[in-house]
Amino acid sequence: MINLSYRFEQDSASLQIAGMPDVSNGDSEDTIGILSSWTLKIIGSPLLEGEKEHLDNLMEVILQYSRSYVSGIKQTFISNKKFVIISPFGISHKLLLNSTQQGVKPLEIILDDSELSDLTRCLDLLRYDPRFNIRWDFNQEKPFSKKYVLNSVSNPKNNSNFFYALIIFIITSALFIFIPTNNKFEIRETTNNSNLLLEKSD
Amino acid sequence: MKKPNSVATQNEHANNASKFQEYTAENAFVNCVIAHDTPRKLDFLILVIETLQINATDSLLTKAKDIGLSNHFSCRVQFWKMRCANPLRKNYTFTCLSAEQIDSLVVLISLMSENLYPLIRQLLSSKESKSLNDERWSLFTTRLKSLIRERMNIKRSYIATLLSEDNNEFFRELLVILSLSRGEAGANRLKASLYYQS
Repeated sequence: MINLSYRFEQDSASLQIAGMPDVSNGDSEDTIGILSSWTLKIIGSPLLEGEKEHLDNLMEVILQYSRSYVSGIKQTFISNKKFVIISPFGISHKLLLNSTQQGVKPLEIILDDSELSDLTRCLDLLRYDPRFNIRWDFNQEKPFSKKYVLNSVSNPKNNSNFFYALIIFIITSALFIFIPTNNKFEIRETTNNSNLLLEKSD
Repeated sequence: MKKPNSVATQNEHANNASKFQEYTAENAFVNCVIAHDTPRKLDFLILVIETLQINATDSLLTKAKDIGLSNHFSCRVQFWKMRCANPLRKNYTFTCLSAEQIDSLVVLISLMSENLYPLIRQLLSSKESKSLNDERWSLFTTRLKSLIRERMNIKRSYIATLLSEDNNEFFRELLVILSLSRGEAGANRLKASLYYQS
């Protein structure tokens, strides 16, 4: 049995994948078709390890979060089986990992932007690597709908602009109401005209 | 028992997609329209690249020539015309970018961000000393703001706000976008953010 192990390194993250070729699927000697284990080292955090299912969950959440960030959307993502949760945390990002083992507390890792980028790159390298013949649960990057982007992007300036516009409109309208109209001029005009008409008729 | 243990380098396998990635980006962009802020986003990303590297335009044009994108990047003027599709520029040309132009710019931005990643990472990292980080950010924002002042329409409220703000949130966001746009997957990610699904 051939045991293979490949490592993907980015400055602060190192992902090691171990597995073997799936001979029944026609994999070559250096292709991993069956993933047996993986380990992820992020500098300053405990070593993470697990099975394919866990890696799928991690990949799904991290890649969705990165994809959304590029579109200007910063929101929480939870994996299908709720093993992994990532959410914005100030200018950093909070990664919460729930263990499948009983009695193990969830692990919380705070990633800064550079660490998020390193981790995303490691996962990108893995899923685009031709030495792996594994189907990942993550879908290809697709554009979001305009409605989704507009609803998700928080832009407090737009709301405040609308609020200011409304106040200005109300004040201006109130001013116009309180400005007195020159009614006398109109009355004199009408009386003059009526006098002229009376004179003419006489 | 054979147990090879090899390290994957950054670019070695980036261009060769695995069997399951054969479903390409082309399928993902069927029935999609270009987002309204695409020219602005691309122009600002290039502006950040110019901030990080002096004479970045020359590097971009050389790279474009190397990878066979010379039609849109034959000279500086053509490149400048493309960037003038950004409505926030002083010399806004009221033109739209074509899908082909967007693809070319995305590829170039992705390549440049790969090269400039060590610098981008220094700015984004919070693990280094605060004084050093502040100094780097000060240099970066000063240069970026001077480029914005030089090229953008400062009468626009958006630009005026960018120049007056001190928290640099938008500039940080641009740097993160650049860092997430590296490699083939990163280019696809950036491209997907420039379109809307219709």
